Amino acid sequence: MTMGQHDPGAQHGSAAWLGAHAERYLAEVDAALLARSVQDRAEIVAGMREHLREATHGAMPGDGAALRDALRRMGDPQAIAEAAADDADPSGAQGVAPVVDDHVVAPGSRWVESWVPSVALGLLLVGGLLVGLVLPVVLVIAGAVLLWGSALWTVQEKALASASTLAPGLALWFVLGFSGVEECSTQSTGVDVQTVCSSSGGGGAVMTAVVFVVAIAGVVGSGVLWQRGMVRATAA
Amino acid sequence: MVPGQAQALANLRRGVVEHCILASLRSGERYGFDIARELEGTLLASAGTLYPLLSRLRKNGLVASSWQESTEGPPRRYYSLTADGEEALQAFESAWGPFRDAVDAALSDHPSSDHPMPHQPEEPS
Repeated sequence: MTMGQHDPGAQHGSAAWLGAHAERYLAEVDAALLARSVQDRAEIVAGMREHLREATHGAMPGDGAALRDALRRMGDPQAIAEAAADDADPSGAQGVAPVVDDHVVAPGSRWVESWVPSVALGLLLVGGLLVGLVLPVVLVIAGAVLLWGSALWTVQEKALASASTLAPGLALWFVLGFSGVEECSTQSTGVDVQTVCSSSGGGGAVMTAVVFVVAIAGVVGSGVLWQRGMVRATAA
Repeated sequence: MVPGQAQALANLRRGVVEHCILASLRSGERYGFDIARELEGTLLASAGTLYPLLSRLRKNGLVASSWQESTEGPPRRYYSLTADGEEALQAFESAWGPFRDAVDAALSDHPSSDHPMPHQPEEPS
């Protein structure tokens, strides 16, 4: 007899039915599935609770061996959560599975080691922040060579990474450069000559906000592209 | 680190196990414990990994589920294949044959040195 979509088995899901040990296990699974929605977690845990009931059906009350065997075969909660996170989707729709990466790093490609994203983007970021000095220019060039020579990113990503890593430094120097600008006016009244100077204050609040947003966008962009590079380097 | 057999198996399961679940429902509706018992081992790393997959398949409309009374205990949640699920399974089947053949051919063309080669007659010295 069909009973609809609600969970009539829930009334049997109490700690008294399965035992506190099983409920602790199910609570661990629930916690490990944090990336899933509340509904998904409830459905998955309900299915596993039913499974445990079936597996221990017919066992004598207090038969810990049957439950232990069932829990062992059920698997580690963390491993279940990991399997749930990267399971493929036959419908082609994207759920919580990682976004499909179209950029494939061919085996044997140049500069695809896991240190490359950190060093390449780090050199560009630090070099950009200290731009104007001799050494940072060398750092920027070294970072750019590493970035553009690596197979970890697409051409568009390399262009974006170049802009993103240099943006915070350029924004910083833009602000510092404007904050030092003084406007002076000279007034002459007879024999007295008076010069009054005032600071422009960094180009105004709007300009400061724009520069701040550019700097933040650069940091975020650098982080995203570093992460993509790391994922691909690990998979290569 | 060189990936071992367990890692290779984990990689192979991705994108395959879901279709095996769909295939297990072709003969009619089944409940989770029953499906797990059939696929546990090579196809499922552990019984518990079945339930996130069933949840996703149901959400994507490839399987449907309903609670039914059981004569042997509490009600069971039964899963059945939907029309979309059947279509997805057919698409997988049509891709799987050539894929399996290509893998078999690639492996047989380049056999592992760990495995003994088929007996070949010795050349006269």
